[in-house]
Amino acid sequence: MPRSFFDYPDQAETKPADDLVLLPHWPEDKWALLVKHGEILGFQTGDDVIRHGDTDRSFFIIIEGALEILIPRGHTNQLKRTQTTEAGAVIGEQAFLDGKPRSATIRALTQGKLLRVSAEAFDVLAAYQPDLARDILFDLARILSVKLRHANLFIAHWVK
Amino acid sequence: MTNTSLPPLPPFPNYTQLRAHSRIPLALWSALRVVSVAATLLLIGLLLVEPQTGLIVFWSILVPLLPAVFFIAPGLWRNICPLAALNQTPRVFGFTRGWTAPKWWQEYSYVVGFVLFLACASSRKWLFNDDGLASGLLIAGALVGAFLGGVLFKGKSGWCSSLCPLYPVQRVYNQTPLLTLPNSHCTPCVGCTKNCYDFNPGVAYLADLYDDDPYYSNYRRFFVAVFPGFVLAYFTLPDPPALTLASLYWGFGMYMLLSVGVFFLLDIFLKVTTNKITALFTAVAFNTYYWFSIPAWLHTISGAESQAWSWGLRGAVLVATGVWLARTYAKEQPFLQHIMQPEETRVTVGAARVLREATKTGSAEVTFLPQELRVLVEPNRTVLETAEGNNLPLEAGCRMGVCGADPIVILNGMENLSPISDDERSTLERLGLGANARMACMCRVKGAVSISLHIQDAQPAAPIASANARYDETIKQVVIIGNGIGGVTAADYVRRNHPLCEIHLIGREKHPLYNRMAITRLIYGRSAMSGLYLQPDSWYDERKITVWLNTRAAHIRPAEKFVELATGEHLPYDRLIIAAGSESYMPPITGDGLPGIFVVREAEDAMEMRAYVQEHRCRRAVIAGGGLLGLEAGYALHKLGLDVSILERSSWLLRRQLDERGSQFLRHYLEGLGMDIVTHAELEGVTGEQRAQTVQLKDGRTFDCDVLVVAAGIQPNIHLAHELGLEIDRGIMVDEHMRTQLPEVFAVGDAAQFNGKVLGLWPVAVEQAKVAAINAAGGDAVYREIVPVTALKVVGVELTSIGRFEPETDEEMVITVEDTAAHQYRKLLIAQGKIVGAIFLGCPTDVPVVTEVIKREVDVTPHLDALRAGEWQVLASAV
Ligand SMILES: Cc1cc2nc3c(=O)[nH]c(=O)nc-3n(C[C@H](O)[C@H](O)[C@H](O)COP(=O)(O)OP(=O)(O)OC[C@H]3O[C@@H](n4cnc5c(N)ncnc54)[C@H](O)[C@@H]3O)c2cc1C
Ligand code: SF4
Ligand code: FES
Repeated sequence: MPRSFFDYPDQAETKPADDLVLLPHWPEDKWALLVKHGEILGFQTGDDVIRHGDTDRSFFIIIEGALEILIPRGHTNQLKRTQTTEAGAVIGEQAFLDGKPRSATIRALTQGKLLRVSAEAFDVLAAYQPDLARDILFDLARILSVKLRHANLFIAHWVK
Repeated sequence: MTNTSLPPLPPFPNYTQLRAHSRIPLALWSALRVVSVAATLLLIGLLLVEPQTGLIVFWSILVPLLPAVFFIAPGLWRNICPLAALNQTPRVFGFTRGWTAPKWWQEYSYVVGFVLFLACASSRKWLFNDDGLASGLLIAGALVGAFLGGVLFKGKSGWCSSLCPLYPVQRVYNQTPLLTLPNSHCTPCVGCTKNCYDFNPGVAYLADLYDDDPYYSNYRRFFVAVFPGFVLAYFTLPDPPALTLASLYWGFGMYMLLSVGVFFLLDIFLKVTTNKITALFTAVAFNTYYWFSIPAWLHTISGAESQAWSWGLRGAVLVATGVWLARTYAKEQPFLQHIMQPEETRVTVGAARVLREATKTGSAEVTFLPQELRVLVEPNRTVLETAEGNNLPLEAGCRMGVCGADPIVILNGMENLSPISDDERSTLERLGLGANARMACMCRVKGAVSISLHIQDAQPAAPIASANARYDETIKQVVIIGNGIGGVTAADYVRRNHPLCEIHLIGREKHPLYNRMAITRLIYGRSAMSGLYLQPDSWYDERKITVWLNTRAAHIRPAEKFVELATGEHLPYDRLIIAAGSESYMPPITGDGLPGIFVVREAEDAMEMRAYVQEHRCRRAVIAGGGLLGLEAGYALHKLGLDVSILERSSWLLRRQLDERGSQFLRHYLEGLGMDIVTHAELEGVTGEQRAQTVQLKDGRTFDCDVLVVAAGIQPNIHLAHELGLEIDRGIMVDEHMRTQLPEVFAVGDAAQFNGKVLGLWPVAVEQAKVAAINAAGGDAVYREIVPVTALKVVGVELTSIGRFEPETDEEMVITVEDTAAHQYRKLLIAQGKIVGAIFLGCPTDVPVVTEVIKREVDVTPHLDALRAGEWQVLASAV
């Protein structure tokens, strides 16, 4: 089951090695360096932080506030909310890795802030601190692989 | 309490989110629980003392209400159930053992619970319905069980969400509450139960059905499968003694078997999800129950039969079930979408805190329109850097306010930007932009601003006031050779100072004025010249300047005072300004002339290089020259995807801008990007069949290459001046009025040599052109040497170098501050108490104040200690 339905608080704490946590063992100073290389964006309720079809290659970490993920559905391609997401979530990492157009629009439900790390900023980070960049890439790839496994399991289980 | 500031609820909110939106105080629930426990004790008493009444109150009035409560507002029961109240008492008063239930308990307690339910409910028919003592003991037993469960196990795992016989019934009926009342027990949740209803009421049942463990979900399916049969059996089988006990239980068994059979038949043959069938079975059980119990209940309440009421209530149950069924079906799709949705990646709590703290550093909000992008920037960052960091469409060139590549319009908050400098103002004037415009590179952010990147939003500049300028009316015609920044600035200033004369501006290149400093962008960028032009098309016309593009000045005839164009036309002049710039210096090398050898001086050079790389699918580039131009060209080719080697003759890069230590920092970064830096490398020549393929060094080393870029410095364009017999050293020699030896001929920019120097810098060309123009129009202006400031335009390197940085005498003092971890290196050269030069790597915010101190020649002796300690912002108080 997805954690988001039964996110029991005690488990969140006793499971630091949760397989979808990005860089669980990174000390704070490394995060501070990442922040230095990224951009902090503010958003207001209703702002589109990511637009479906955009081609910018960045990933984001939500610092404050809540956003909804909208995906075009049906033949009218009307945007429908599939999920909400809030502080602490990493979003957009797939387009960051594959450079493909964004598959969803992410719209702010509240005001808030997020950290944006673009491919360009990442390049700069990688040149200065190859170790950090390698950590990030490896971990993003690991998480992607975990998700793929989950998806495969799910399909094997429920798609007759 | 107002809830307006709360985020809206997600599609399947959990109880903490629901609680935040709830208006019912937790204390009220606690009070209700006290009442319900007391009432239960009274009921037990009643059953023992006055069984007749007790049995009616309990079995005939209260119990028939329960399914409806589970169905409509299950949260109400979960919150006030007396068993739950007792079960949670040890937790509330802190004497629970808080054990985590063992695996077998977690798996089978539900099964035990539903077996207990089936056993007790079927036994009503011969035991509980008529026996006050048995019923009283049943309730009392349940109270004790619930309490003990709470003493031993954590959360509700000891009873309410495990063993409780009513729990399976609740789970099928409470799938889609009409009224959701959030859990008021668990503060906080201790995660005691899988797919906990109390935690997330909207999806708990679906989560059970879709659980990964097939046994887990099958126990639940089994229960719902037997349920309608069980209910029907209860109401249709005769009560003992009309039946023997054995036949009674046999009957129940047969009904349930039939029910299960139907369920699995449907599951196999209907092409719908199991959830559709479980929901349908729930609906059937519910309606069956009330079909039979409504008339009896009404009878108990009112003491009379009422057909109308019975049918009315049955109808109401049916309608409610319809709604319930529709809602239950409707949510399966979003639920599935959600669980099939890629799960969310998160950061740890510690990381989240670092991020939050990073936003508290007094940052200011810069809003870009029309993108509606809000960026929180640290104070003193420039708008240009901010825009670049966010991939906004803004060009850049000099990064010091003199080229005009990055005009922006300030919609709001002009007072929150660093004040406008003279250089910037004159650039804005050249662009014809008015009071709300700025150059982004010169706007350091101090507070909130909103900015438009649509330059059409700018107010026009005030008309140029040239009426009182001193000009010589005998000057009728001014000719300017060169349509670079020197020539264009000269033309602009001649016009400002002389409203009447004819101005001819001759440019060999095909383009109106463009941003020469940014031409390496043409190598890797996909937008060719667009964005590189620095002025609107109408610029020349508006100033009555006749521009000759794609036209070469072939000769100058000083005796007849005309310029002969290569087209054959003659342009007479009273004053002539030579702003022919420079070309790239090409050292003598073997193989010169082979295709694949490039220089970078003009837009055409860069565009041809890009075309060549595509045509020959070039993979490797060698850059000869580790100066600014070489590095920028190398970076451009790197971005285009080539492997780049940079050859530098001396022992470090950027000899003119950096000392050795600073250069190490830079080299580390460039190598980190993947560029190959080779020092002590002197170019001998190139070989290759038909095109450049191998670069040779004087020491014998060789490098494969598809492209060779020679960036070995500049060579002022002096051919025309030669013909004039003017004095020439590296460039055309000029005095402080920018005058050559011929009084009516001036030279400026890269073509001119002043005080022994050809600096080859944009701001120098601008300043010199202003002086030459004023003098050419009959005024009197003198050129004051400016301290050269240069910046490297490679993304990720913030390098500014000002003036000199190596001491020339023992009295001169050097201060260096470095922070390897932060990739920062700063250096000051102080001569006679004044800063005469500086290097900044990775600390752009110190640049403006130090530049100002250098310009104003401030005595910094009082600040030496602070400067040594790296606190260079103290200088702000000195200017
Ligand atoms: C890639 C690159 C990056 C640079 N970066 C910086 C920087 O960061 N900071 C900085 O300060 N400077 C920089 N410069 C240098 C700066 O661009 C020059 O100093 C400046 O352009 C000089 O201006 P100018 O008008 O004197 O000469 P130019 O800009 O060279 O203009 C001269 C014009 O005259 C034309 N011309 C020449 N002969 C004739 C003729 N006979 N007839 C007609 N037309 C003729 C030429 O074709 C040319 O268009 C850079 C230069 C390059 C190439
Ligand atoms: S899982 Fe959490 S919410 Fe559910 S009963 Fe246990 S403690 Fe309460
Ligand atoms: S004026 Fe801003 S980059 Fe040149």
